[in-house]
Amino acid sequence: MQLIIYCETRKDLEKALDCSISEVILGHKAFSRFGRLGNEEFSQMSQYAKELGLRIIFEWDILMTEKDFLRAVQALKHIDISLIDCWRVQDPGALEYVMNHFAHPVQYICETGNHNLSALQMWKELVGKRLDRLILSVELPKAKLKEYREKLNIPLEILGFGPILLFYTPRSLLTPLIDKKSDEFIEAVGTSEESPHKGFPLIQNSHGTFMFHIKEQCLLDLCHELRLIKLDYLRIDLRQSSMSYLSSIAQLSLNFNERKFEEFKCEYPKSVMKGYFRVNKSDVLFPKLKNYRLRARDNSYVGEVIEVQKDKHLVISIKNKNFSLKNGDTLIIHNTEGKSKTLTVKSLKNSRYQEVEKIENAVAVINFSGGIQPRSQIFI
Amino acid sequence: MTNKTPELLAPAGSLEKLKVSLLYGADAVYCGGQKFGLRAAADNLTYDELREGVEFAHQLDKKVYVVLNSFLHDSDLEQLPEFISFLEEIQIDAVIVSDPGVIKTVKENSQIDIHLSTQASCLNTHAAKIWKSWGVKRLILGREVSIEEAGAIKKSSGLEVELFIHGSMCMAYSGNCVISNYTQGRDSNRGGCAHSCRFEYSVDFKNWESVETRKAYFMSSKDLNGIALLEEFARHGIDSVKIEGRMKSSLYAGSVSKVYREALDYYKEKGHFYSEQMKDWEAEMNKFSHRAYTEASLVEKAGEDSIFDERQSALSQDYVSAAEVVEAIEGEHILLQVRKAFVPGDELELLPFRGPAVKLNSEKILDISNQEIEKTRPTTLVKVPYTKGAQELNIVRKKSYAANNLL
Ligand code: SF4
Repeated sequence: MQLIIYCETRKDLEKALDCSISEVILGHKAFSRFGRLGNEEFSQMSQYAKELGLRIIFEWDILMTEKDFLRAVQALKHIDISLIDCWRVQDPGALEYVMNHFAHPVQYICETGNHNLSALQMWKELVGKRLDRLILSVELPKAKLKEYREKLNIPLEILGFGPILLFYTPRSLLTPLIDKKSDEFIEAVGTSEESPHKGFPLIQNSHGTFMFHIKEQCLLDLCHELRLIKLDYLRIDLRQSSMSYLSSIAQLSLNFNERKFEEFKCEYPKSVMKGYFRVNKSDVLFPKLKNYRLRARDNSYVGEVIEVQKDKHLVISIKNKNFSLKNGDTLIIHNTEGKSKTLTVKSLKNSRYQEVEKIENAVAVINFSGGIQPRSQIFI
Repeated sequence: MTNKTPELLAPAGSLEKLKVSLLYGADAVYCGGQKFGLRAAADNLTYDELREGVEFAHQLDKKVYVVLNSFLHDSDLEQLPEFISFLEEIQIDAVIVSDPGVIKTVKENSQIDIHLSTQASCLNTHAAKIWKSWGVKRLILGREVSIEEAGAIKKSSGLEVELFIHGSMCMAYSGNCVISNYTQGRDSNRGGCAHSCRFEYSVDFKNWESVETRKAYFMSSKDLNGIALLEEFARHGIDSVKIEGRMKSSLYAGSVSKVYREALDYYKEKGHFYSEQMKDWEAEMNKFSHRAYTEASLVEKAGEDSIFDERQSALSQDYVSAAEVVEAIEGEHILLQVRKAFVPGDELELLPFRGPAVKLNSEKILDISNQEIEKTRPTTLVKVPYTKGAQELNIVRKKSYAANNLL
């Protein structure tokens, strides 16, 4: 398993080389969400990276509307890409463009969704032989990474250390709060009383506004497991902290040592976590969100309670067109708390409040029974 | 002369709302089944309700699209083929999908048309080519795309394009927000969004020491309202305009559908929107609950004025949803299910499926047992005298006194 790293300065490149890292991501400010390199700097960095024998990845991970895309294509004409080894893209439009205009290998960022094998296979087949690797979501647990590595049989990469991006909008959200131009780089921290987590890092730049998790992703203590599942690349992102931590990170990834890890965590300015690496249960709360109506219905479904007058009556709306309600019928009512009640119809009136013998596909007033609320569901 | 207008596509968070949206003029509705869509907390439709909804729509020569736009995990995908077979059997008109794995599963198991969900954030012609190569028939473009850009994408891709025209907006690029996943343990891309962007935050500008900490709803978007841009939608050949709001009330679904229907019909006949009625249509948009409006990125990139300060919300509602018509018996009574309490003499308006709102006689209100009452309560049934034109599922709204007092 190899480490890869974002580099913004010549020193960063040297540091990468010192840590036996052979592949670096260069972020041009017009193409990379957090890129800071202009044309000249990009060119110089590329040359120096090549002198050091490093493989260069051109990161193009911004999302673009049609007009942004045309601007990006124009900007690309002024950048020296002669030394790059590979493209790294996320917008499918950028993927289509580099596939048709350049011959380099392509790394495709599948970090937004793509949480199933079929989706990943679709991207793999689309890019074909030029696919250098897929970059997977950190929401995938280890078992899935293992399965995908075996079944896809292509190199895979995940974020091993660095900020977890939670939110990306093209709108400038921080500018209105301060007196600055909207394309200036602004950093802030946001805290809401309504969220259990405090202190979300925020960045605004020319590409929009970004929010990050309060903790950073850290899989350093799991590198042996990642090697066992044959993960190919582990990405390190120190753009929001400092490249000075790279040596410790590289050391720990290679030779994990519990004590040194604890020391490192004390020293590192942010808290870290393993995120969803062990398990992803982000759908377990859904049954609680689902309301009581979502229980399976079949031909036994009658309708819904629409009014309850305590000790007087229930009014029901008969929705099953094939059902005719009569005195003496036994109804099973699932109340809004999920409990079932049985009720025998002893009194039956229509909406004029007149006694009738049967009612079909209309409103019916029947005898009251406790523990039933409006919107309770009725079955036979 | 008949001028081409976009399809009007409205939300159907439940079977009742499906019917309401269609009866108030939508050409098509989109709804969710029990799973696979992005609104875990919405009522959504059961199998039986979906079947009934499709029959209802097709009888009116209208369409039903079913959302399967979650980013599914492998275990979710396993259950999908059976649901797709069911959807094909009941002859839905298209599925709305964002995940390539779901596209593959739909294609392998059916001939159903595929519309690409806005959740996939398709934003440009180059991306459109990829989705087209995967068999997508229609692109529901990202909310960041302008009408003009959408027209260009349609032209170059040859695909149908759909744009949101009205309703709440996700502040993030769709599919690019996982705040809820990490803060609430709920996958926002599988329907668990906790709307953290609507929270108030105190924002501390650490690196700008001269700036004080600010409290603001800085991530909250105003609501989209494109009524004044309908001509642009038509001019650029947009195939479908979509109203957001599967979680919203029938009043909302019905009222918005009705306004856009009237406006589109006007254009169909006249070929322009230079109508005195434009003011009325715009006024109608203020008669139900909404955040302050914006045209967001429909013309040019959404700017600072597209951000919504939640403290403005009290100003944004002229009418409230008072009731829905359960039954109308000519010459006798209208049976209403009360949503918001009202009293005899309150200004109630019945919104017919076509034509202007009609005042309801609310001087004498009876309960279902024909006893006169002095105040209604939500979730109860009441009778008011019959008013000509009233029909089952009509919406009844009440003038909001809070709004009056603020004016
Ligand atoms: S929290 Fe807001 S921005 Fe994020 S997914 Fe939900 S609605 Fe969209």
